[in-house]
Amino acid sequence: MLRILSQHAHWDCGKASRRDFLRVGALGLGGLVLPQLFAAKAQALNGPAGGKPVLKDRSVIFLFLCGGASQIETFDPHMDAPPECRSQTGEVKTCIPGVTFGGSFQKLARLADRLAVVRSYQPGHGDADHARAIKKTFQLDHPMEASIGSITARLRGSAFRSDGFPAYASLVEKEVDSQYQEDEERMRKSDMPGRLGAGFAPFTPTGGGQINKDMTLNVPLERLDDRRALLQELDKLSRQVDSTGAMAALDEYEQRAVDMILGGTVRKALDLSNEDPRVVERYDTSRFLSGHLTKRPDTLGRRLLTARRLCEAGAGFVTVGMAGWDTHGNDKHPGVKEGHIKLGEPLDHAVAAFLEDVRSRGLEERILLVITSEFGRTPKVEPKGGGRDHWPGLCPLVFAGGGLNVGQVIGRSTSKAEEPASEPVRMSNLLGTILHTMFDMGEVRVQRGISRELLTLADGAKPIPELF
Amino acid sequence: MRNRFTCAIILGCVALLTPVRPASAGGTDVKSLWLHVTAAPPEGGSTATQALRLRGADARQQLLVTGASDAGTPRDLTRDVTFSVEPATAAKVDPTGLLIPLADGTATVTARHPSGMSASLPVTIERFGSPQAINFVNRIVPIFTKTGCNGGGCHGKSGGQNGFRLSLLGFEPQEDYEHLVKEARGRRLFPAAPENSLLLTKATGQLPHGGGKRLDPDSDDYRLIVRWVRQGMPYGSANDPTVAKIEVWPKERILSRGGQQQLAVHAHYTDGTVEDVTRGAVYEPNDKNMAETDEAGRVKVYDQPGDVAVMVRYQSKVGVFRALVPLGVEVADKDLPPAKNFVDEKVFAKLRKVGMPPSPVCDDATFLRRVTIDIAGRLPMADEARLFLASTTPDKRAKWVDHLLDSPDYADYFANKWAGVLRNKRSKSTDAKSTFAFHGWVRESLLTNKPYDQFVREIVAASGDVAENPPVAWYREVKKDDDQLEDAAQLFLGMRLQCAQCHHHPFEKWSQQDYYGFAAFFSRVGRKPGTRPGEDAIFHRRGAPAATNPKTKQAVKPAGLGTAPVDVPADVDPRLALADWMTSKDNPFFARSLVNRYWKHFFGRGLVEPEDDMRETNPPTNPELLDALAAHFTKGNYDLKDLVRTICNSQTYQLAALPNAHNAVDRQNFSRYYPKRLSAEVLLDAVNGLAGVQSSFAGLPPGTRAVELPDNGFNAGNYFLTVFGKPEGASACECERTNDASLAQSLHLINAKDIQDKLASNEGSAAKLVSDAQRPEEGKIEELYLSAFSRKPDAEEMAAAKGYVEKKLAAKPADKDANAVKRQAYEDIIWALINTKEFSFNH
Repeated sequence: MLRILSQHAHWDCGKASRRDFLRVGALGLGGLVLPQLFAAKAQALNGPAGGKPVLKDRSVIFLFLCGGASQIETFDPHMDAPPECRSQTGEVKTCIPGVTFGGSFQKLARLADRLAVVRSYQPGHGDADHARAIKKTFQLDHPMEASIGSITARLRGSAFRSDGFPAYASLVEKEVDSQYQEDEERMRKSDMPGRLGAGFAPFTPTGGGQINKDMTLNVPLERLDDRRALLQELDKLSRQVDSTGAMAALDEYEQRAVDMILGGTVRKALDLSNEDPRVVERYDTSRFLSGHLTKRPDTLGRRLLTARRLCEAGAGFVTVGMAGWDTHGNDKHPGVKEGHIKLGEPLDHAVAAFLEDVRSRGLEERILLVITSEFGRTPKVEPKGGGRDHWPGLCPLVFAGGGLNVGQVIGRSTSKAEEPASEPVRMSNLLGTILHTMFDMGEVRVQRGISRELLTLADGAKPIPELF
Repeated sequence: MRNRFTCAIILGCVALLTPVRPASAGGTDVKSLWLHVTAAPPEGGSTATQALRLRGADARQQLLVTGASDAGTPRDLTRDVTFSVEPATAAKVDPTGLLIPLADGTATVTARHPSGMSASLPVTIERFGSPQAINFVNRIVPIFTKTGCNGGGCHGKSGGQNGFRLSLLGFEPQEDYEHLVKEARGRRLFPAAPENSLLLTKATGQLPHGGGKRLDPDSDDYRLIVRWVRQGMPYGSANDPTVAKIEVWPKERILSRGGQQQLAVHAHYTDGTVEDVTRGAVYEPNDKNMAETDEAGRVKVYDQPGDVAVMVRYQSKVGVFRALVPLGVEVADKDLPPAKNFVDEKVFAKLRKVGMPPSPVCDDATFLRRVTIDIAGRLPMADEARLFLASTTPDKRAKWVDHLLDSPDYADYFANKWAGVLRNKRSKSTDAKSTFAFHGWVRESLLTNKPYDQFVREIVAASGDVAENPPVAWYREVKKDDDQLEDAAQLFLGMRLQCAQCHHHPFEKWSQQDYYGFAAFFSRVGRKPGTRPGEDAIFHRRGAPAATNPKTKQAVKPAGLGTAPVDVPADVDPRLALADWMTSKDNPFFARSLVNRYWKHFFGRGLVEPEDDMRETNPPTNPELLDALAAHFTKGNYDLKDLVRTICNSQTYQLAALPNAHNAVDRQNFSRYYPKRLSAEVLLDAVNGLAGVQSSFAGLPPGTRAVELPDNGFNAGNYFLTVFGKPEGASACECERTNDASLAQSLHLINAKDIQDKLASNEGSAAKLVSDAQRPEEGKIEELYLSAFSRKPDAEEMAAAKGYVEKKLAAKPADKDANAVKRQAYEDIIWALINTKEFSFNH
């Protein structure tokens, strides 16, 4: 049982309530006190220029196609290009007149009115070194070495929400295929806070983040219970001494921390057995096999569903990684056609299920889905092996939801999908679009305590205008 | 309404312009009533000067009604009266007290209060029928500020919003005119059918508008814009008068909790005319937890006693209204501890004024722990606590303060504080030589108690190589002159000049000219490769110092803020002139900002909050105290240790944190100590200390404590420090250090393996205590309490802890070693102590 002392709610517009003693069960009324306290604190922190909320009620799912997905076989088939350049998986008509997607995206083609496809995105790097390229995309090639997700965590002030739920999570799957394991490693390494500090690292349910370690009970449960009982007896400093609510907040956090350790809201969000089995079924991609040499049932669907559940429960930014898109067409890698069927189909299926799911739940505006890769692929297919190599000129980029203007194609590519044929969209525009979706950037600009470095980066990131 | 009056019985409270009076018994009846538009008669105004003259149909006048009971303080009754105008055809008054003309002529306005009192004023209305050309700058631009269109979050930011750009807060009306009238092929304004102008259809929400509905079609502002468009969008002539300054009435008031005050704002024009602009001004309280304002200029305070200021903005002019919200409890001499120094005198004077009795002085254990943390960044050791508690020396507290100031711990802790805001940041491993040297220099300066003015001079005017002159390292992170001046202003003058780089400062009087005058001091800073690869040496480049104002394209000579430009000869480093100006005895900002920063260090809240945002529109909560501290500091030759002594030896600093029956709500009057969390470094050292272990930091000698760390280079390797908010040194603001609680922190303290390893260490406290067979359990528990809290456990705590050990022993299975079980029990006790609030807070 928790004992919380609530002070005068003098930020409750004058409705002064005398001190209340509230005895609450786990996660009870105390949760209501916290957001107010932190809102008032945040307002106070914002200073005279602030007062408007910095954070919008939007979440971002960053679906990353690791390895370099082809801009052609995904959403820009160019069937009028020469045979060795055009999409090797053919094309499929979408519900937008005149627009076609690559042949393996049947379901998304029917839902194209919910997507905004950018055909002029040029990351500008095509490193032979994937690790460096992936890092550049995640971290915007910036010396701060902070991933986009970490930047959003820093701008909101914490990688955890005030109610204790993680605001920033990374769902990169543990791979079994040796090739895919490399992709996994690179994505994990890139989704890091860099110079922003470990406090803004993502919550990673799989894989050894410090938070995970801290969440794993490392003394017998009985001992933890005994300790907490003793703490109750010894923690006697009157909460009355603190009028800022910080002590009450700590009491609340302790409760939530123990809940997390013992399997609370976060575990619940991650546990798909809490979801309607029909929904799980719709997302499920396990019939597709993922892996090049060592195969296993694909888990993208389940992970995308988990991402939705995390966002619904309050996460602000969730990375979902999908490995295997490096289609050189040699002994280590599949060719373009094989690769984009093998991976395109589960991607198509999972994202289509996601789009239907968020619409039926009324979450479409609240969640922005971003699908992209670290670079695109060469316009000309190698005759031997049927593969394409790294190409910095263009890269697939798709947006859905988030209240943006979807149902359109943004920008054009040259006839063989080599370069943008309209104003190029850059990595900073990708960052800008994400930031403008999640934050009131006007208010962020006048925040205090954010380093000049980060502010310059965030302020200079202009969103893609057609989306807003 | 009755409640407001009963609340307003202010015992012992003062009208701000008159001396303290004894308690006034009555207050529910109104014995005097005044109708006015400027100062109320009891506050220096006179009825004779309240002539009302309204020119033109657009003119408005905010009326103020003030009442008082016998010997009572003036209070606002603007919303409690009924207004009438005789003849009624001449003018009318709306429920908020706004006088609106209806026809030319003279009339009498009367305010009648339910108590029977009434007051009247004559009013003259002229030129009602003659339409005047609407001046764009004086009439239309303020509407954009009022409605928020040209704020920094929307059309006012550089780049504007959705292709429509306005100057920030209307600072550049000529540009605004261009954007409105000439840009976008003149679509925005449509003289033939003004209501169909895009500007209006969007602003009223008739067309989809990202900013929502900003303008009500049934408002004066809307009608004015329509008429202006119909007139053909005149700009106005260059000879038209402009706003020279604004005045806010009343300037200050004592308000009861939950009370309100209507303001009137007058614009004084360059031709001498005065106009009411109450509805056009923007209002913003400096503490949103204390008050709110509405568009009509009415201030409403909440329940919290203290000071709140409302910034009033019109065009590029600012004004301020100050409210004191007393608690209203009588504070007799017996309620105050004897004043030890001028700090106490000033604080207690404020407490009398606010009517807030302070908590009593804290006990020895509390004082010992509190001051040791605040000065030396560590917990007192058990033996230190024992000795202090047992000592009967009458001035033992003052002696302990001296002892701490003489110890290297003081230098470590404050070096840690200064190095952060001096941006002593390590970005690559090779930086370590410089960051370590800079930190060492700061520490040495504190240890030797170098006068603060010299300290700042040596940083700001640093030249040479980091190897020989460590403060040159400050220039590593502030590479351009705008970074240099902004940091210098923020750190050493308590001012945020950043905004003024591109436009007039939104909240203060500094213009771009001021900004570039300040920048000019840094215009001759030269860089060349130093002796260490990758490090620059700083030198003075010969030449006349000047910065170019990008608006006027003129060169600006160096000028201290608010002073005339100085002529610096070409062969003299202008930074020396800057140091001279900053450290001169009559510099209004230098000493004030330092003493405010140090006040915040000890009390958790500055006299000005935030500590680096000192401006006219953000006044100190106790101006007399701030002035006195600054004067003392200046006269004492900027002696930092003496400042610490002055603060820590005051009774104010030594008040208990536990509130009495009245002052739990206090957040700015210092009637008690406001507890604050231990910072990351202090907490880590405290945890290590109690658990009897050490952290190791790569490359540093064993036993190095976290507060001694010279830079941020150890952050990445230590999760504890980063999760508890140790900053990277990337900002000149101490707020980069987040002291906020977070779930990750709680998780860590409760369940981290790292913490468990500390507790279970074979060399740690638990192991040592258990292996000591001689000492009784009580003694061991007492030792832990003295180490953690500087006090002995009370009977309950002792019973709980002892009982825990006994319970564990009793429950132990036969095959388990008793000592091992005991050791685990002690680990658990230390775990519990670490997780109490008493441990992680300084209270």
